[in-house]
Amino acid sequence: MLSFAQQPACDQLPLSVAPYDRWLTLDGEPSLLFHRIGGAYVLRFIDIADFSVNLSTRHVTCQPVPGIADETLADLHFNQVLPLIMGTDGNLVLHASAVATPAGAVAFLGATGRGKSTLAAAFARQGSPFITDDGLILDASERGYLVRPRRPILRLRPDSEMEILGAAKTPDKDEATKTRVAARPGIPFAEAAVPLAAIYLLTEPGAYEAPEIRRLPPPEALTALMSHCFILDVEDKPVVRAHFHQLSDLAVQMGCFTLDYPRRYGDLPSVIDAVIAHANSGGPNT
Amino acid sequence: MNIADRLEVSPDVVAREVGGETMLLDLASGTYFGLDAVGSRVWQALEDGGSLTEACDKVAAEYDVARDQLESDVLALAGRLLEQGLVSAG
Repeated sequence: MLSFAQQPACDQLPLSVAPYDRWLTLDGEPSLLFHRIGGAYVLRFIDIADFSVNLSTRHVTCQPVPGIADETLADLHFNQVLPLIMGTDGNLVLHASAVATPAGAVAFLGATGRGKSTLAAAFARQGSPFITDDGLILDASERGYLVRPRRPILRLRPDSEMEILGAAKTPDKDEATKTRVAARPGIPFAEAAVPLAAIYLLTEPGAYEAPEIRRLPPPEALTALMSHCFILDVEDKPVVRAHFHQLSDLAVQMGCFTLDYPRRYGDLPSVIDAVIAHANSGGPNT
Repeated sequence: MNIADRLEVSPDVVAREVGGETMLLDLASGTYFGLDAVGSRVWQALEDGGSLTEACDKVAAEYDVARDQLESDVLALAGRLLEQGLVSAG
């Protein structure tokens, strides 16, 4: 059980130690810096908030930058901070969205901005309930791997919201800012865990005219899974070692496929058809 | 380095066979390495505490290869493993 407290807003001052890890945006700019300070981990989401995580006391403190909405902080807490903490408890948590198809859960693995939420929304609109928007939790079971449902909220950029869900156009909206879309009739959410059918890696968009699905060799699948795993402390050798073994098992048992497709909203129905046909055909087992 | 040498696997290296290859992760540097089937046999021999000669014996038991060539290849692989810090001189 975790406790949480929010402190008054404050500008981000330089920290006393250098970061031991960082996450980058697709443009190569740092978005999250990881520090160890006084027995706690300080996660600096640049220009948004500092989250201090004390694993011993199971307490999280958030100090936002002035002007940051509570909704943004809640999203960061749920989608980034909690998955990082869960990874220290032996859970497998991946940077992936997931939807429930007739073949089972299909997961879309990728960095922020690769299209995970857009695909989840498109599948949901077509009738495949979404299971999670990000921070996918996998539970190993006798039935194979199960994808645990998280919260019934998608976070979409305004253009995706408009093109996929038919939201009204709001020209003053910042294109880079995601908005929350709650599950509702027409955008179903999976309430129960779903057996994992396949994992698709969303790579850098290329000049594709139609969806293409290719199996990654298992060693490449392993490195892709490792690089899309929530690990709070990449220098914590026992934790990284455990993840390496867990993800080796996943790479061998489930494999991983690259999914390349034209990044055009009008092509999403063909992407959905291709993924469902692939998952249904037993593609993951061939 | 001599073919009779023994090398110690670094405690910071974690290894798993994945799809016919042995994947190595150096926890100290966060770097991955892949070993093919023959390299995997050599790695297993080193993990078991064997010498490079014993590693050659293990490979020779499974593959039809001239001994001179095999020893040369194993020494070259051992040199690369040493260079990357994945093993150390025993």
